Amino acid sequence: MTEIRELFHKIGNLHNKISVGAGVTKVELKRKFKDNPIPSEIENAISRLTDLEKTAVEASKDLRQLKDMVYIRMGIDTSKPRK
Amino acid sequence: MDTLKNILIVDDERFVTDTLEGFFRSKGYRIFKAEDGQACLNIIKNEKLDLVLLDIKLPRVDGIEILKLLHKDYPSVKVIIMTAYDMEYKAVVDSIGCDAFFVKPLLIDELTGKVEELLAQDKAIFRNTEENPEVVPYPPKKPLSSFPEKMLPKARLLIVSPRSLISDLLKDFFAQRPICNGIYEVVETGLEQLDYIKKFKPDIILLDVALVGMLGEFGLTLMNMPQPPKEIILFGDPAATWEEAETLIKRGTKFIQMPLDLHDKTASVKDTIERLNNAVKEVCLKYQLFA
Repeated sequence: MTEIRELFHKIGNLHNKISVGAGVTKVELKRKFKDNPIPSEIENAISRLTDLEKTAVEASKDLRQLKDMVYIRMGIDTSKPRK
Repeated sequence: MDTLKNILIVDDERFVTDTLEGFFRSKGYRIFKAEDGQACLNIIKNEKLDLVLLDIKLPRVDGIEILKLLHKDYPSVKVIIMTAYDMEYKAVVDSIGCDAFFVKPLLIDELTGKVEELLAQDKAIFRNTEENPEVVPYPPKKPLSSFPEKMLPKARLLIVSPRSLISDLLKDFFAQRPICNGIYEVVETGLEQLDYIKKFKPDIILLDVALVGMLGEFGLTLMNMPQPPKEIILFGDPAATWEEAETLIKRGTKFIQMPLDLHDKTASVKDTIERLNNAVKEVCLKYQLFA
């Protein structure tokens, strides 16, 4: 069974993939249109990517809170309740 | 002459290394990448790098070992730590030193800004964290000053205060003093922090009296660590949770009075911090904590 520590790490990495993927795509889209007016659908796409980045950060903050709650009750490397 | 800056990206997630590789390459950098610690070491030894984006949790050789090597043998290489283990490795990284510390998930604009800033300068700097609370300040790689004595008093300091303004003040002060052999700041006494503190092994705890009596399991665990601190130094206002503090003082714990209100003109905060510094020095001498 995956230990809690590993599981939280994995979820953290997933958040990171979302923010890096969204962030880099956003910047590349902006660069692509830097010498021309940005079409509205691209503007919307950039806006959604920015939202996605922020969402990943928010999700990560919530995950940290969840970690604190879980770590009080369970051993992070044993995944068993603390005595 | 080759003017391209060389960046090594180290992360065990291929998606991240591939994405950042394409991104930074398109910005005109030469990119190397590694997905495990051993591959990273090979590149460090064989290439002339300007900057390393370093994850901590890596297969084969972990990022902490790599950071130590970079710090010792390649001091001119800038290092940006990027980790999902925000607090867990903070104290350890703090004691070694790096140029920036990013907590995942990474925001590409902030990361790019820091990479460009570091590659544009020659010396490591303290960073302004006001605009980005996820970036944690670290001491520069080399001490700002040094004592002439051969034997320098040195201690690993743990600052525990619910007042982030105070703990930040103390951290900033001690981080620049030769007496500081690593520093760790705790504003919230969550149990998760204990694991980091156990690894950090503080010699001295600077404890805000505002927290005395409220530490509960956190405090007990601190006192019962396999390698407990040599001494606790209390600081703060006697008005705060004084009964519990008095018990500690009767047992010989030092107390340095500090006003709760930082705008209180009757007592100088700077003077208080200086007295804390002297108290730390006394403990170093008492327990022979020297570099």
